[in-house]
Amino acid sequence: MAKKRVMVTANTEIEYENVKQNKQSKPFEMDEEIADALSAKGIVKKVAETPVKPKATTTEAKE
Amino acid sequence: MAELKDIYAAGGKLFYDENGVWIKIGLVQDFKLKIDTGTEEVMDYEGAIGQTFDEIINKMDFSISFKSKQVNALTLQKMFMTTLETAQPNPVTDGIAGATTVSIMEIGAGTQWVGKMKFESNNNRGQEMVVLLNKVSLKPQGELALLGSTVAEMDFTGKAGKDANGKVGQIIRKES
Repeated sequence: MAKKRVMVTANTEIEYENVKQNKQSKPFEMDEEIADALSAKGIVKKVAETPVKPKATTTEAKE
Repeated sequence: MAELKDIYAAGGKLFYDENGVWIKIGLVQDFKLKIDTGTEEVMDYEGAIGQTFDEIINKMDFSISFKSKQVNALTLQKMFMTTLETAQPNPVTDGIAGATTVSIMEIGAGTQWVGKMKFESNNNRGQEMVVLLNKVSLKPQGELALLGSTVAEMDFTGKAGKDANGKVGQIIRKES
């Protein structure tokens, strides 16, 4: 099942997959279907995926 | 040895289930789990005077009651059986300015809330206790003071019925 990154927005606490999360918690992944249902009620907010850092350019080793 | 008074003194949290996620109902006061029994007396008429031979419990009802002093969208939804959706504010029509998001709840347009509930006692004091109720049918009743000199609170009661598997719920208590 597809996952979405979410944050708790309401002034409450939720327990998802046995982990307690609240407004102060860091973003976490949730099943997309559940994230849709909870975000429609303002309990969680979808947040952007962590941007993929561009690979560090490497300088070729000099012979 | 810890006694129930520790749970009373320490308090706890009440959660409800929404799509498989436990969501805390904020600032719950006076959460109670109740049992109500119906009985039938079995009489013995063999003597000169009829006497009670036995009393049989023939009906058991479980229910809960609690008060919430947190008037948020989720408690209002349950209290006034509203729909609930979030939207961008429109100061012209909804009269709310300065917000980035508003909750819009159509009063009476929702349905009665029926679902799972969980009570967790405070684990910082006393013996931990968790109460799981598999199917609570909430019955909001009373009033919400929108103006007044005391903190507004909403009263809820609910029947704790059996789920599809015929189970009411569980009390889980730490003993050692």
